[in-house]
Formats: sequence, structure tokens, C-alpha cells
Amino acid sequence: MTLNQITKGQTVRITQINGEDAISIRLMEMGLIDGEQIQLLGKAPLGDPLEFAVRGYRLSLRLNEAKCVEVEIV
Amino acid sequence: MIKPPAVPQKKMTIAIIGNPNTGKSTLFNLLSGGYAHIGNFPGVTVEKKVGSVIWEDRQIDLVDLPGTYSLAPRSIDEMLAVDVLLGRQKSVPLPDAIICIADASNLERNFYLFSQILDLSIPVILVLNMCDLARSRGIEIDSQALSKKLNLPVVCTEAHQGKGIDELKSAILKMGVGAEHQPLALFPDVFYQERNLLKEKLQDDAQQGAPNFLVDRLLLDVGGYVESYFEHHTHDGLIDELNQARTRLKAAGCAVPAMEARLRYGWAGELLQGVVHQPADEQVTISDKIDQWMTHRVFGFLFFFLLMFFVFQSVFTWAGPTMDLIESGQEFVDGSVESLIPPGPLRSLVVDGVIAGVGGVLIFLPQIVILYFFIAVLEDSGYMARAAFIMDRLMRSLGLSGKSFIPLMSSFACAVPGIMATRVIENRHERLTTILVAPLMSCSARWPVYTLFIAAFIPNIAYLSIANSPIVTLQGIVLFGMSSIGALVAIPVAWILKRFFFQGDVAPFVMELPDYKWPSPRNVILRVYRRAKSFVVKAGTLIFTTSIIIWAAGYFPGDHSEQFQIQSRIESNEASLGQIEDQLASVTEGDQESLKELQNQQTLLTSEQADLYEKQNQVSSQLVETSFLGMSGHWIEPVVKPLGWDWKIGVGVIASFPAREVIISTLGTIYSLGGDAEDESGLIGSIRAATWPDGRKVFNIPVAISIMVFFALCAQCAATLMVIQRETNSWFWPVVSFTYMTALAYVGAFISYQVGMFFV
Repeated sequence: MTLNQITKGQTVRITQINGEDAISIRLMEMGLIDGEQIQLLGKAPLGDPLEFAVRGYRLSLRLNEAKCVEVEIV
Repeated sequence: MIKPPAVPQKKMTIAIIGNPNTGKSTLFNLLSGGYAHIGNFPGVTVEKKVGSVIWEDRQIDLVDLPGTYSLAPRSIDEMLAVDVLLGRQKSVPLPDAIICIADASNLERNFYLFSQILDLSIPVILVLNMCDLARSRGIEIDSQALSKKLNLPVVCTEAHQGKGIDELKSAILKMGVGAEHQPLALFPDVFYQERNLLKEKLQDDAQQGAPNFLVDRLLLDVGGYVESYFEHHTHDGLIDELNQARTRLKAAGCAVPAMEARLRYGWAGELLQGVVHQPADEQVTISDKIDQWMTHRVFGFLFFFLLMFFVFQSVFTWAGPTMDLIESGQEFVDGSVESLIPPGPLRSLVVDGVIAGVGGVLIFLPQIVILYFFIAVLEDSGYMARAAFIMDRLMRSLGLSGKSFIPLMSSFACAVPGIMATRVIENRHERLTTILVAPLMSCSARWPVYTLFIAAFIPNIAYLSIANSPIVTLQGIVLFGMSSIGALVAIPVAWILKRFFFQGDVAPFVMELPDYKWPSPRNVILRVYRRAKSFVVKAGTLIFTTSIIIWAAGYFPGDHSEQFQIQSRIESNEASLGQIEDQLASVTEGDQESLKELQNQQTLLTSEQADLYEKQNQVSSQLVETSFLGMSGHWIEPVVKPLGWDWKIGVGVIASFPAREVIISTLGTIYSLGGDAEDESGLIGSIRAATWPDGRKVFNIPVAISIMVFFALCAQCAATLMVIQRETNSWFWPVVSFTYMTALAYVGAFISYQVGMFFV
């Protein structure tokens, strides 16, 4: 499962960041690392981007960026 | 008591760095006392903010570096911070110490950047800002234990309240000059072996010893800026060697780039253990509750559009009267100068060159100040990130991101503050794209041009009326069309820029949504003041120069003596007429003879005045025609003829380079309207009557449309071009803007005229 597929309010655990491009590096810099928990707080009015809670702060990701993040249900 | 003589000590340079939204600029403002020298770093679009202070007889330069989450540069702009910290940026000496500012409520993520800074060899002071917010969330930090663990000074501050600043100052004063710091070095040995191998190879290229930190970045940042920099500055085959090194690292279980984030976050987690106590369960913060409304499907949009409407309404309500005030102020100064200096070249230079030039700069200030005030409030409160969040999906269909929305929307009032607002966009290419399309938005300076030509040539046909008041009219449709054409053209322009010129740079939208907070009045005022000042000082001088050049081109080489004679005559007649009026008022009823005499004189003078005005108009228009400006108008006539224009319109277009609305007064002069060229009804009459030498009318609907389309798309605004120069720190981008917009405007005007002529 990837991070773009979870539902609002759901908390999941990151298992892997796919890719070695600028986006995946950025995601890791922002603290999205395997083992870390992340929660979907809400969506923008047009359904994209998404707002997450991770490491105690709020992060906005686009659907295609969330797609790079492999997650598992806690 | 005798004070010991101050020991002359070396000037200290302190770099300030931190994540975005950590209150870094507030802290910088407090430390520097609000005074900062603002300029640009050479070669990049990054603003250089240096605050010079003297504390306890020590001179200290505080260098504010742009907020960043990481020292892994992706563009030349992000490279700036790395270059400053390595002493490679020539305009700043190698810092003696670094102040790293971290958000106390979110230390883990902030410590990613912090751990990278610890890999440098410069002593660091760690500042935990917003300690109050952290406490209110139940986060407890033992800063002394942290300081002991890290073996460096840690200061807790609440910059918004001004707390902790004195402690920070004394920590800075304790720092020695030129002290060294042992790099943190978190990576396994195999990484440093590869680093040293690579470093040796770079030594051969006479790289004057690439610093360890830079070689680390070369190895770590796959596809980063350091990689492409070295690719262009070293021997061929470096990339192969680099890839081999990375493959070996992967085989050793240290795959880059994943290793860096894992190790740094691991280090941060371990370090913070026992030092920071988090509440057991994740709380729903007030910010989250506000966000549920602000990003709500219906309410979020509604609030956003109401807010934007309010901003615009305020710009028009407040800027309009202020701009009128500036204009009447200008007229008053004109009047005073005219009463002091007799008609002549000096008066012409002062009134039409200098005062007009200064007025042309000041007229922008109300819009800049008001728009920038709102932008600063939105940014400081945390709403700016939400605006980008809400608008991102829509803006992406235009090839931009949500961060471009506010700058582009501001440009509908005025492109100058719009372009200044692009500073919120960190991605260089996205920022440049936004800067390049912003001047296409229909700003308020285009309205006078539209209204003049629409009133003169577009028939007022109503298509839909309610209770006898027209709702949809042809004039309205044309005005709407002219106001939207720029925005419509901006879509393909942005697409082409992205597709062909700014390729390969994916802009991740990965963006922090900071906590909402009350904007600090001090911050907001300082930012508005700095923007306004930088506009007047930097862009203003250039706009002023342009105005003087255009004045000179319209003044020389003609012989103005006749014009000045007529002008003197008009003014002395004016004075006599005034005297007569006074006398008339004081003449007693019975004194019929004097009354008649005075009235006769009045009639005579009035009719002479009318003749003189007409003569003056003829002379003025002739002088313009024979001036350099007029010559260039004639010279470009073959170029503008396919647009349906005669040379006079050509002159108007050239003269309006400083600002679009100047075309109206130029057309007024050149069509011998003279006197009050702003008097629209007179101007409408005379342009309607204008003919080609063969007697055909110059203006018809296609010509009017062609002029309007030209002005909708052209870059006839010195202020915009100068602000682009200032914001991009290069003359290349204003030249690009001017060239592409003029080409677009020409093609647009050409098509409108040629197609329009089929229907005439």
C-alpha cells in the first residue's frame, strides 16, 4: 500500500521510500523514514494535495509524491 | 573610574540558519535591532541580509541565510548557503560561528539540518526558539542536558516576545574568532574512505582542495547541484567514478541517498532521548482545528476567495485615493515650479523630466505597501502555506504550483509587488516562471488605455438589460476580454518555459504547514518598510533615469524658443486675466465706463488666449514630430504599419516605455491636443478625427483593438522590468521579459488588426 491510498484519520507506518530522485530525497529529509508513523489529517478542497501529521508537525504532499511512500497498517 | 581602552578585536561574522517557519527573521530583526543592509548575493536570486552591530566594543556582522530544511543544494540558489558556510562566497568572510535556529516544538526534524551544520568546521550556537509554544504542547526540554551532550551552547528563546535575546547575545560574545569545530561525522568509515578517494581525484583538477563537506555532498546528493557543478568544473569521467563509488557503498550496505536521512534522524532520536519529554499521545492542536475549517471543501474555498476579494477591495479603496493624492501633490509641485522658473529648457527638465520621474516612482508605493502588507500578514500568520495548499491543484494545471497563486493574483493590481511576492517560492525555476508570466496579468495601469479606446471606438450596445440598466454590453465584453487575454496567454507561456527552458527540475511540493499564529506587527512593518525602501532606492533610480531619457528624447533636438515665447505669453495673459477679474469684482455698480473697458479687455485677452493655445498645440506637436522620439516614430512606422498604426501611435508606444498610461498624454500632445492632455473627451474627439496623409481615418475598431491587445501583452513598464532585475539579480531576465512580451504583443496586435480588417 502507498501513502496516497489511506483514508482520512488513518495512521500508518512507513516501510520504504521508493526512488532516488529529488522527491524521494526531499521526503527523507523531511523525516519520512521507514518505521516512522504518519497520519492523514485531511485533503485540500480539490482532493489534492494531502495534509499529514508526521514527527509532530504538519506536512503537505501531493498525491503523486505520497505515491512514493510505501506504508503498512499499524 | 578609568575605563580600560577598548582592545581592538577582529570583526566577527555570524551566520544565521534554520528551517523555514522557525521565527528566524524575527530573531534576526531583534539581534540586528531592525537595521540591516539588504542586497543580493552575486549570481543568484537570493537576498543578502547583513545586520552590523556593535556589542561590548565588538563589531559583529550577522548574515541571515535563507530558511532551508537541508544543506543538500538542488539549485544554484540553495548552493548559496553552503558556499557562505564554507567561505566560498566571496562577498562574505568565512563565518566565525553559526547560529542554528530550531523550532522547540519540533526538534527531531529541525535537527536534520542541525546535524548537517555540525559536519562543518565552524562553532555552532543552537537556539531553541518558540519554547513557549513547545511548553504549551506539553513538550519539556532540558536545554542544559542538551548543551552538555552536544558540548556547545544551547539558548532557549521566545523571539515573538523578545525573550532570551540577551542570553543569546552573551553566548555570541563568548564565541572566539576563528575557532574550529570537530565535524560530527556520523557516517560509517567506508563512506569516508570513498570520500577521501574522491577528494584525491578532485585534487588533480586543481580544485584547490574541495572541502570535505562539499565532497560529502557530491557523494550523497544523487542528481543534486554539487554533482552538476563538479561535472562542469572537473575532468571527464568524474561522474563514472562517482557512480562506481556509490555502487561500492551500496554493496557495503550504505546506499546513498537513503543512508543520510536514516543516520541523521537516528542520531537526533538518540540525542533527544532523555532530554525532551513529549506527551504520550498526539494531541489535536488548535492549528489542526483551524485547518479543518480553512481547508474544508466548501468553507475553505469560500474563506479564501472572500479573503482575496477583501485584499483587492482594500487595494482599490486605499491605494486609489493615495495615488490621487500623489498626483495632486505632483501637480502642486509643478505649479510651484512654474511660478518660480520661467518657460525654458530648465523648467521643461524639472517639470516633465524630474518631477514626472519622481512621481512615476512614488505612484507605485501605495499599491506596493498595501499589497505587501497583506502578503506579510498572510505569511507571518501561517495562512500563506494554506493558500498554496488550497490552490495547488488548480495552479498545477497551468504547470505551476500553489505557491505561485498569490504573486500572480497580486499582479492583477500591480506586477511590482506581485514579483516581489515570488520570494515565497523556493524552487528557482518555478520562481522564474512566475516572475516571467506575472507582468502578463492585467494590472491597473492598463485600465486607462482600455477605457480610452473602448469609449472612443467600441459601440455601446447592450445585449442584456434588467430594468433598463444594461448588464451585458459590448464595451463590457471588450474590457473583460482585454483584462483576461494576458492571463490566458500566460498559460501556454508557462507551459513552454517549463517544457523547453526549465526542464529536468521537478519541483517537489513537499511543504510544511506551520502552526497558525498572530502575525507580529514589528515583523510585518519591517518587511513592508524594507520592500518599499528597496523599491524606491534600487528600482526607483532606474525608473527615474528611464523617465529622464524619454523626456530628453522627446525634447531634443528641436528649437523650443517659439514654444517658450508662447508659453510666457499665455502665462502673462493668464495673470492679466486674473487681475481683470479682481478689478471687475471691485468695480462699483455705477462705474459703467470702467466696467465696459475691463470687459472689453477680458474678451480680447480670452480670444488671444484661445489662439495662443492652438498655436502652442501646433508648435508642441511639431516639436515632438521633429524630436528624437518623433524620428524614431517615423523610423518604426514600416514596422508598426501591419498593425494598422501610423507613426504617431508608434511614438506613443515608444514614449510609454516608462509606464503604459503615458501613451494617453503622448497621444494628446502629438494629436495637437495640448493643454490638458488627460481630458479624455477632447482626446477621443481628436483621435477619432485623425487621418492618414491620403485622408483615410487612422483609427477604426481593428486599430483600437490592435492597440489594446498590444498594451495587454507588452512589457511597457520600466518599474516591472527594474523589479525583475532586482529580484533575479540579473539583467538577463528583464531583457527576456521585455523581448518575449513585446514579440507576443506585436503578434497579438498583428493578428487582431489583420483579422479585424476582414469584418470592416
